[in-house]
Amino acid sequence: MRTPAHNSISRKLTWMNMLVSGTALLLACGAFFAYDQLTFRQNLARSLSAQAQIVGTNSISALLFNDPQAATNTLSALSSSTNIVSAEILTPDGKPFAKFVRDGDEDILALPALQPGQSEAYLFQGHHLVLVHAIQFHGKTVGFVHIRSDLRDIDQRLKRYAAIAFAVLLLCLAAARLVSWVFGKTVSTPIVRLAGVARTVSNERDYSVRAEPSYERDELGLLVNSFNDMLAEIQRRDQELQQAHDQLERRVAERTRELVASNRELEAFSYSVSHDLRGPVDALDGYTYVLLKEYAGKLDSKVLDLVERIRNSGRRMTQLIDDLLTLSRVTSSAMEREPVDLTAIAHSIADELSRGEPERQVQFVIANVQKVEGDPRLLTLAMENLLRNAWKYTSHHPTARIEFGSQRKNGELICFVRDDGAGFDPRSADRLFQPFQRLHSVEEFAGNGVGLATVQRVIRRHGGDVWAVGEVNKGATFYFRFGKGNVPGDEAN
Amino acid sequence: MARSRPVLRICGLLLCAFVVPQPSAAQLAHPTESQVKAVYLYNFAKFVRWQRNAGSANTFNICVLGQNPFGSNLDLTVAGESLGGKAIAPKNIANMRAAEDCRILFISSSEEGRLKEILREARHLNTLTVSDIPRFAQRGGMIEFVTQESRVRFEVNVEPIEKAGLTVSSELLKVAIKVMGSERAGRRDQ
Repeated sequence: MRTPAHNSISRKLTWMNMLVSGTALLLACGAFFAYDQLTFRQNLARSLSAQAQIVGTNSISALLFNDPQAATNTLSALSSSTNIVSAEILTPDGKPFAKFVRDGDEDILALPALQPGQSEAYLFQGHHLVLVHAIQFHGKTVGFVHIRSDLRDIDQRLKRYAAIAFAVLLLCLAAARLVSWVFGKTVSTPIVRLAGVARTVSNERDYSVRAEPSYERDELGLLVNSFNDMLAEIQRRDQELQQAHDQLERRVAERTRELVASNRELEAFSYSVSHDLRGPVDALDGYTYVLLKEYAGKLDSKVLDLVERIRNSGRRMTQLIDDLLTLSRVTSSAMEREPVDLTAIAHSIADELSRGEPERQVQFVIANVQKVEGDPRLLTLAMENLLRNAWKYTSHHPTARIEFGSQRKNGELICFVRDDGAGFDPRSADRLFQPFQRLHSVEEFAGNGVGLATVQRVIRRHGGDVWAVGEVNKGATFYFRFGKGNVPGDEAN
Repeated sequence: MARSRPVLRICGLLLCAFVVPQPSAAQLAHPTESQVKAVYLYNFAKFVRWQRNAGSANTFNICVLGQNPFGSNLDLTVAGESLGGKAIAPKNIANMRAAEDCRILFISSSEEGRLKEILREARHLNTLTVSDIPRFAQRGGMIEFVTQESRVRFEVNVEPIEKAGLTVSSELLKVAIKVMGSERAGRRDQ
């Protein structure tokens, strides 16, 4: 395939060759023409001089014996020389004596002046050569011959030469083309190949290709070989880099596998632990239920109270196990991603809570919060935990206000759930989200300390984080934000 | 481009001035018949070869036999001229005895009555005979002046020339109006 690069270099070489040979030829032709013109003019003048001499000599008697007719006859012999336009014989005092004119051509042309002692002079005038010859006889000038010749021969010769030169020029250019085609290959081919390889390298990032090695000991060979060396070096480094990269990848994959395995083990463990724990607790619940149902009349009230307490403990245990299972699932379950309407979730949870305890005076203020990208199940879980938390910690107040809203800080969406309940000691704020850590006693507020830990895990799985601001008895605000890309429209900001 | 006519004329004049220092009678504006004949007489000398030296004279003699029709024209024409290293000398002779040293013998028309004898005697001389006597050439003369349309021409009889051991140039025959006495004889087409 002929590429532009190929065209460019070999065309340049060809043009260069053709230009050089063409110029040389034109210069040579020019010099030759000039020389030929000069010699040809001289020859023409010489031949005209000879003719003038012959005519002059043959006209001596005619001049001496005043016989113009004889002279005219002599002159008419010139008609065979087609280049002679006119000829004239003059008497020594310059009077016309005899004349020969071809085809009515009669231009008056200046005659070259004869210097003393000169017997002949000629002059090139435009397209004519005019020659004056003094006819000498016995040491005396008996008359003059004027001959006028046109330069038709010279013109014809010039035309012929121009045609020849043109033909030779064409041949020369063709030859130059051929030569540069044959020999230019030694220059252009390595460059073209090199360019092709360079293009392959830059386009396909393939450093394994090589330019055809050159065995020439010139700059081109050096270039090609250096280029190949460079490619080899790049390839070697590339391989090293690739090896290091692969090794790293392998190590990461290995670690990930290990981590996944240990995580799975851990989860299986905690799941089985939780599941296995439920069995005895369920049994405990069942038996205490039977006790309360079957033997309510047979046992005194103190025993019944104790059984009731055992049952409550069992229930808390069940709840705790359920929450742990949930927490475990939050960490391990697969995440989906779709737009989630937190406002709608907040409304439904608020309704549910209000229906559950209709006697409580709680005002829900739920703002329209922009949809976020995330797992609806997990986000519902987080919202439920946060709102239930607020519901729970406002339960000691006669009236309460629970707010869900959002704000923007530095273009980032931050959601919050705010209540005016029990609040917390700000110094312990970082303990809030740790599992099983509680800032209030179970007696004060029921709970097992898993809820906020679950919230944190959900938000973190979405690439965000959660934090709380609050004071004792002055309510608490739980803020959470999502990682980049989890809020539609964030990317556009 | 071309130089103008006046310049050309001046050139021509200069040319004449340089190359032709002394105009001969032939080139005068309107030469008389005798002037022309005098010049021709002298010019004939240039186209004829004499085989032997004409006598021992150290001059080239042009003789006029009889009454000289040229007056001073012949003397003026040949004054200072020479041929073959010999000065040209015009000479008037009264009879053929004095014609021994003559290269050219002009026979005046006054001698027409004695022409036969003169030619017979001239045959033994190495002399070119010229005359303007009518039918001179037919009667055995060598060159005869003929006046045609007021121009001086001449006829040549080659036979007596060759018999006298002279050689005449073909150039001369070329301008003769009539050449007789040889295989080349004939009348030139006018």
